[in-house]
Amino acid sequence: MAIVNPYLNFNGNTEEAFDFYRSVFGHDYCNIIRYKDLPDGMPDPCGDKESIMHISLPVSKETILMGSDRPSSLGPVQNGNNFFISIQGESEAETKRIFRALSEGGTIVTPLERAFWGAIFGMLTDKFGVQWMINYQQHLF
Amino acid sequence: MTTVNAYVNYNGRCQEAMNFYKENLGGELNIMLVGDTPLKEMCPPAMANQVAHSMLVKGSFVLMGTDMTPPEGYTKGNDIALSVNCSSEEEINDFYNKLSAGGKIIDPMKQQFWGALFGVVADKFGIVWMLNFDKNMQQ
Repeated sequence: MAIVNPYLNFNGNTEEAFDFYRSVFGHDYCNIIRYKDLPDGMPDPCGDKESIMHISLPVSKETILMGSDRPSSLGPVQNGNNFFISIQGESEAETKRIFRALSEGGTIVTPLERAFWGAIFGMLTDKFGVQWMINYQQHLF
Repeated sequence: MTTVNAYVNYNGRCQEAMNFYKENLGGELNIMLVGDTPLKEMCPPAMANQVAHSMLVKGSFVLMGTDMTPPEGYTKGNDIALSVNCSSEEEINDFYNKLSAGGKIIDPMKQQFWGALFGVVADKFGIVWMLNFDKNMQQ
């Protein structure tokens, strides 16, 4: 069965961002590849061998947060507002903890509170400019 | 268990986009329109037929979408893409062909040095999909 996951691009600070996400979600990377790990002869598109070509942080058994430093040849990353990362918390307490942790140094857009669909819901932009929707409800529609 | 999923704003084309994905990728689609929710009191009447929340689910495949654009307006970035781990070569070929219809191929699908078949497409709504199938990862 196919699985779809969000893939984040950063301007060279992927590792800093993912270290932050790892501290929030509490799992360890299942994969981290730097451009310097590429097979011999492959060009380094970032001009910095420590840059991240691919990193993946499991959040649940099936869902993974993935990312990389955007190759400079493709131009800089531009943050839009057309994507959110949606988190379904496993408990009210865990959801509140994740919301607090992710919003540290960022901006709360909608405080975490009861929404009309019966869930506890909030939105925030983290300190790296990534938009998050945090939701906790026992039964998803 | 806490899960992480992508949530995409289609800026007025959410119904069209989610129906396109449902027709081409399969799955069960639920759409909640603004007019059917308390949000209608806060939104202009023209938004009644726009999507407040939608969800396409096919087993472990979950994609969510909306038309709810913030007051400052819609800005399309290049900071997030959708990554799909496909479960068969047939499936990745199917997704690659169907998602790129009307859109464009960014990185043609080929065998990559990490051992997987991989390609990148932008669909006709401008959303970038990274498709990966690693037969060694299959059970």
